[in-house]
This record gives sequence, structure tokens and C-alpha cells, in this order.
Amino acid sequence: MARYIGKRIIYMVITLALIATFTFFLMKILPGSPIASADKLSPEQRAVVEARYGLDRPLPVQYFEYMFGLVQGDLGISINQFKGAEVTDVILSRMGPSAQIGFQGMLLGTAIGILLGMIAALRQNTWVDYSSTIVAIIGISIPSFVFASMLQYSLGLKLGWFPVALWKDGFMSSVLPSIALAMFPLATAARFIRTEMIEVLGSDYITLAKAKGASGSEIAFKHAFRNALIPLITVLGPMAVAILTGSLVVEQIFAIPGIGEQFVKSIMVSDFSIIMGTTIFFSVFLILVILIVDIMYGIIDPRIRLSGGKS
Amino acid sequence: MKNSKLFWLLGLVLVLSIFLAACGGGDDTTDGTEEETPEETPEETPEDGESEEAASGEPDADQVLNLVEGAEIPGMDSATAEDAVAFNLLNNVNEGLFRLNQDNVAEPALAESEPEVSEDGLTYTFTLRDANWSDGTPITAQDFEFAWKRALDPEVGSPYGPYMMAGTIKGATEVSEGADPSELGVVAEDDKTLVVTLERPTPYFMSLMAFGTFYPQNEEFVTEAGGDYASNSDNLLYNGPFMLTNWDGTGLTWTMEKNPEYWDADTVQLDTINVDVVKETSTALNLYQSGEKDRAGLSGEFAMQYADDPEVVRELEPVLFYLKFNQERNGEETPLANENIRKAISMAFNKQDLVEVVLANGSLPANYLVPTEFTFNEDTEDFRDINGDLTGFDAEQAQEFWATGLEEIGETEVTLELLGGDSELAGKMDAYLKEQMETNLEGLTVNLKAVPFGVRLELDEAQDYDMQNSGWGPDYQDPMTFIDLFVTGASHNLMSYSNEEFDSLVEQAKGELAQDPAARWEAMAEAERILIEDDAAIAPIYQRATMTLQKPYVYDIVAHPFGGDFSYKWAYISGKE
Repeated sequence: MARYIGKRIIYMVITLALIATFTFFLMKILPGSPIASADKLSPEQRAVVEARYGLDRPLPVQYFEYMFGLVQGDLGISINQFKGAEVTDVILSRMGPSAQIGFQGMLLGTAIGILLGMIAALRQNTWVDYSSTIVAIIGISIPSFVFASMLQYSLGLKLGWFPVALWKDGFMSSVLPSIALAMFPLATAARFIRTEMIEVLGSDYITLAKAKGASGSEIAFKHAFRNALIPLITVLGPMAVAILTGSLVVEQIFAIPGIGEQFVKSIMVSDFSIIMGTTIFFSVFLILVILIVDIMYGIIDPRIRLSGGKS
Repeated sequence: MKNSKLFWLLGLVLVLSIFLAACGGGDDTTDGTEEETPEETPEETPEDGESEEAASGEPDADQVLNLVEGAEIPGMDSATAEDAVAFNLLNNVNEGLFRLNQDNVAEPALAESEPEVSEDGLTYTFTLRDANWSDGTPITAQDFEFAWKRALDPEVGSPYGPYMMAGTIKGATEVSEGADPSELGVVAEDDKTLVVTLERPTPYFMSLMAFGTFYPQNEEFVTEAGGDYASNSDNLLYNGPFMLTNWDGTGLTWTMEKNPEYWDADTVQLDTINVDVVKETSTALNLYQSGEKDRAGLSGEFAMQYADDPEVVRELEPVLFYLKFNQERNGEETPLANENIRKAISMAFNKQDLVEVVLANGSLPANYLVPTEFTFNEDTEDFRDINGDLTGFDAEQAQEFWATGLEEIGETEVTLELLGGDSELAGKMDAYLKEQMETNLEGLTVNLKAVPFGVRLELDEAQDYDMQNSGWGPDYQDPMTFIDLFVTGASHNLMSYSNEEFDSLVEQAKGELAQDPAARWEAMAEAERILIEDDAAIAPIYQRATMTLQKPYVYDIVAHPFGGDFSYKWAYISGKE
């Protein structure tokens, strides 16, 4: 196990280095300058401003300097989005709201999704099952920003149950964005649980449990549900990705001071340091989620061989 | 068993109800215009946000204005500011020697009165009025000297410092490239006297003094704060109508509160302005409808949707869009080197229909270069009144020019590329132009090329295009900011346009006529006429306007054509229950 984790961590670092390198050069290819009024300056004036942010040095030098800083945990300073602010500070100050709506969305989505999936499996081929399938299809096919706009207009503006937008009313402000983000996890979980439950319900030990005289709910929860839950862990990774990408637009629609909406802006204004910092932050987060999922999976289901066939 | 059934059912109902509510809501979106807003219809809708006559009722006891902003504050250091959000804020929480008034004419602010100007127009002596920073320390002439030198310091790396000062203030170019700052023509003779020496007479110098880059900074405060200066609202000093509070440096929210230390605090009526960054137009509109916000900008399709709403305020901007005709591409003459071809194309599209149907945001069709409602002389007469329209849509005349032009270049068919932006609006506009030109001019084929802004700048710089849909906003409040773009060899010409007469008129206006405002205006007007009427070097398309929803209880927000977009100094709330 320890060896497996060690190996995975080494891979993680390599992946991260590759992502950082790739993003760095891709970003430099992008047209446009991080100096907002570059087109207004004379070449001499422009050189002075570029020198101020180290943009005048050859690309390889910039690259190695950046990577050297990165290893020491220095993400540089923002060029034009938040002039002169430490990228680390920007990310830290924006992390809270993103984490809150992301976590709430995940929790809400999986909880309701599991519930829906179970109902559907236990009442297979009834209207309950069909409606749950419809919900799942809607949840997967409609992007979260459409939900976000709908929720804002209906529950926010028309019914007035929740704030329309802005991050001012504590938990209440987080409800609508969380629901918007919950849609994908909800749909995924519902679909997944339904399939697994049906499979489990048909297995021998369920027949045995029935023969033993266990009640319907006991079978459903104690035996079928528990076993159906295990494979769900595998989709936690994709769910986290969906929440993260969803947050880019959802945060913007609800005007939430999160990392996602700030990331979009940094790309628009070519703020290299912020783009790099945020990309690396997102990558670390996703790689960690995937690692944790793999480890959990191994712990919960020892049949999965972690060491990749060897040992 | 019974319980769990109920539980399932409840969960299902809950989820479905969300969908139903959401879907139901979604269908209503398009009806937004017809909905009644809870507020009373105003007796008078403030037009343009500038009109003073709109002031009808008594100001309310509760003077709070709630606004949205489209982007974060990138930084509040007046020396390095270079974006609209910062300049707008600076204009309201700080002040320079002059300020644009309700008529958009620069009037003395921190300067006690108009400065003494030497006979050669090169030396300005300003006397400061008694005014304090928000911490109570007096504002001195040294504060100006310090701030301006800081804006030029290569270590600070400000883009706007050199951009605004080089070529205007004596020694600014050298100082921005590392020369001794004492060479700069800015000297604080004593606490109250600031002497500025210019490189050349600058008739619009007073309006520059209202621009954020020329605001003062308190040396002691800036030095003490060091790297933290301007990083949040506590690390700043204010000297304007309001003080910035509640801004953490990276957040989406801030507040402006009335500044009790402001020298003209009696004029300021608003106590608090709450600002939140909302980047989505639809979200801003929902906040406006729910009553949380008092203004919401209408962009793109929303402008069309709300066009007839009584709460819409149209604000004309001094931003002009025009077609650049490139006369020489890759070292070879293009068909556009022919004057008649250029004239034909510039008259071949219907601008009225373009602004009404395609843009639908209140923009004006433009037959000129220098925008209307932008510059005024001492008698508040608009520069635009001198020349009026210099060209216009005329299909028949266009065809005549076209036939002559084709004959002259010995072709029957011409293919031209039209370079434009990649936004939806730009795409629609360019497609319309292509359709109009091809319909009205037989034998013309227009190929559209839509690219991102950065790429367009690169192609422009390489002069690698035939026609380009281009726009320009002013850098200072004077017609020259538009006119000298097209001088031979100017860094924005980039289309091989050259006319000696035009060049010499611009030269005169910048040189010997600099101290004779009337003659100078005449010269610039003549240059503009040559550029468009005689040479058709560019084809003006439209002058941009924006549409904004504004609650009827908001009065006297003043929109400016230059510097900060708005002043809230005179604004007040009246009739909000």
C-alpha cells in the first residue's frame, strides 16, 4: 500500500510539472499582452513596463525562473488583474466561497441522487423509475449555468426565496449556486446507483436474505444499498471535475467571489501569473481527488489490486 | 415501510418542484420588459444622466446609491491605474487640480482658481486651495510633484504615466527612461504653489489635470505603506467627494462613503454608494428588477429587449468606429489607394439601419471623426458643430465613384478583405457591411476575417489587411486625440495614408496656433474635413452609446467623456419610498 501511494505521488508530481510546462508555453503563444494599455505605449515605454514584470527576458529564462519559484511555493505576483498582489494571496482569499458551494453542491447532489437511484431501482419500470431517469437525463445534459440562470430567475427574482445573487447573506447566498452545481452529481449518482442496485438485487445473497426472512427495507438498505454504494466512489473524480468546471460559470452568474470566476477574468486579461497559479491550484486539487478516490477504492474493496498486477 | 415510502415521495416531489419552478421561470424571461416594476413612473426621466433639469423632488433622508460594476478593481494607485474601473473610482474618491463639471468642462478643484499661464503658454502656475486628505493632513503642492514623478519612475512601471506626460510635460520622456527626476518640469515652489513647465503649448492641459494619473499622493503615507500601498481601502488616502471603504483588494464588493474632509463636502448629497461586481448582464438585470441595484447596463440583445422601457437612460460615449482603408499591403498598392474606390465604399452602406437594426443600443450613425458631445469651447459650443456631417450613405453617388474608380485602376472586379473583431456583435455588423457593400457596388467581393482583439492589433501593426473595422476612444479631451491618429507615419495610421495639407494643419494646431483656441479649432476642423470629405481616408461608421436602466429616483449622476466615466458628486436620491 505505502509503495503504491509513494509511486502515485511521484506520478502526481510529474503530471503537475507537465501541466505547468504545457500551460506556461500555451499561455505565451496566446495573442495579446498582459499590459493592458500596451498598444498605447511607444516601444521604449513598453520595454520599461515589460522589464518591471520580467517579461523582457528570453522565454526559457522566464520558464525556469517560474518553475524554480513554483518549487518553493512562490506563484509570483499578479500583473494586471490585481496589480502587484501575491497570486497565493489571491487564491487564498477566493477559496472559501468556492469550497463552500462546491462541497454543498457535491453533498446535496450525491444525497438526492442516491435517493433517486434507490427509489428507481426498487420500483423498477414504474412511473417512479421513469421520472427519476428523466431527472437524471436532464441533470446530465443541461449545463449547470442554464440551471443557475433558471434558479436565479425563478427562486431568486420571482419567488424571492433566496438572494438573486451576491455573497452577502451567508448560507442563504450559497443555496442557489449549490443547487445549480448539484445537478450533475445528482444525475450521475442516480443513474449509477440505479444500475448497481438492480444488479445487486439480482444476486444470490439477496435471494438468501429474502429466504432468511429479512424485511424489504432491511434488504434494501442493509444489503443492496451498501454494496451498490461502493462503485459510486469511482465517479467521485468526474463529479469533482464537473463541480470545478461548473463553478467557473456558476460563480460568475451569482457574482460570487470565488476562484472560478476570477480564473475566467485572468484569461481574458492575459494575467500570466494568475492563470498559471490558478491552473496549478486546480490541477493539484483534481489530482488529489483522483488519488484519494483510488486509495479509498482499494481500502473499501480489497479485490482491486493496487500495485498494478505485481507483488 | 410506510415511513420510507413517504420519505421517497417527499424527496421526489422536492426535486421535481425545483425543476418545475425553474422551467416555469425560464419561460417568462422574454416577458421581462412588460413587467411592472414596483416603483412609480417618474414625472421626468433623466436623459443622458447629465441633465440637471431632471431634479424635481426634495432629496430623501436616506441617501444610498446601489451600483454594479463590470469588473474588479485591478489597483487603486493613481500612478499605475490604466483601466476604466479604477479611473472611475479615482474620479470619485480622489481629485486633481481640476475636475470635469456637469457640463463636462474642466473647472478648478484642488486648484484655487485658473492657473497663471506664461505668455509662451509653457509655464503654468497653480495655487492650491486649502484642502485636506481624509486623515486630516493638508494637501500640498509637494504631493503633486511626488505623485507625478512616481508615475514616471521606471521602477514603478506605470504605463499611463509616460503615456500621458511624455511630450507634454518638460523632461517627462527622459525621466520615464531613467533620467534624474529633478529634470521633470514640475516644481512645488511652496506648500501652495505648483509650477509646471510644458514641452509645447497644450491647450487642453486643464482637462488633463482632471485625469487620474495627475492626482496627488501623500509621500509620507505612500512610503510608509511601501508595497502595501493601495492594496486595500485602508492603505489609501482620499481627497475626493467620497472615501473608499470595505475593499479587500481582490474582492467583488466595495463601498464609497461621503468624505467629511472634502473641501466641497456641502455639495455632496449621497452618504453611501454600495458597489458589487456583477459580470453577467442578466444577473445585473435581475438585481435591478429585485430592487437591490439602482442601475444596470444593457448590452447586446438586452439593449434591444429593453429599448422602450421608460427607465432606460442612453449615454453617448466619445468612442468612434470607422473603417480603415489600407492603401498599401505587403509593399503593394491595394485598390483602396484609389480615392474614388474609397469614396464609393464609404458611401455604400446604410448607417442609419446599422445602428437601428443591427446595433440597437442607441448608437449614432457617424459621418465624422471627432465625436459629438465630446469637446466644447469656452462658450460650451460643440466642436462637432463646425463641420457637421462630412460624408453619408448615398448609393447612387457611391456607384458613380465606383465606376470612375474601377476605370482608373483598370479593373471590373475587386475583392477586398474586411478585418473585424470576433464578438457576436462585431460579426453581425461586419456581415451587414459586406452585404450592403456588395449589393450597392457591382463587382465588389468582400471577404470577412474575424479575429480576436490581440490578433487584430498584430495584423494592424503589420499593415496586413485591406479594410479594418476599428474603434478609438479619447486619451484627452481635445479633438486632436482623434485627428492626429492619421498624420503621415503616426503609430496608428498603419494604412499608408499621407496628405501634406492635412499634416501641416495638424502641425499648425499643435504649434503656432496652440495659443489661439478659435484658429486652432478651425485648423483641426479643416484637417478633419480633408481626411473624410476630400480623401475618404477612413469611412466613419458609428459613435457608440450605451443603454442603462436607472431607477427613476436616482438623479444627477454625471457621465463624462474622458477620465472617470461618472461623477457621483452631485447625485442624489429622491422619491424612493
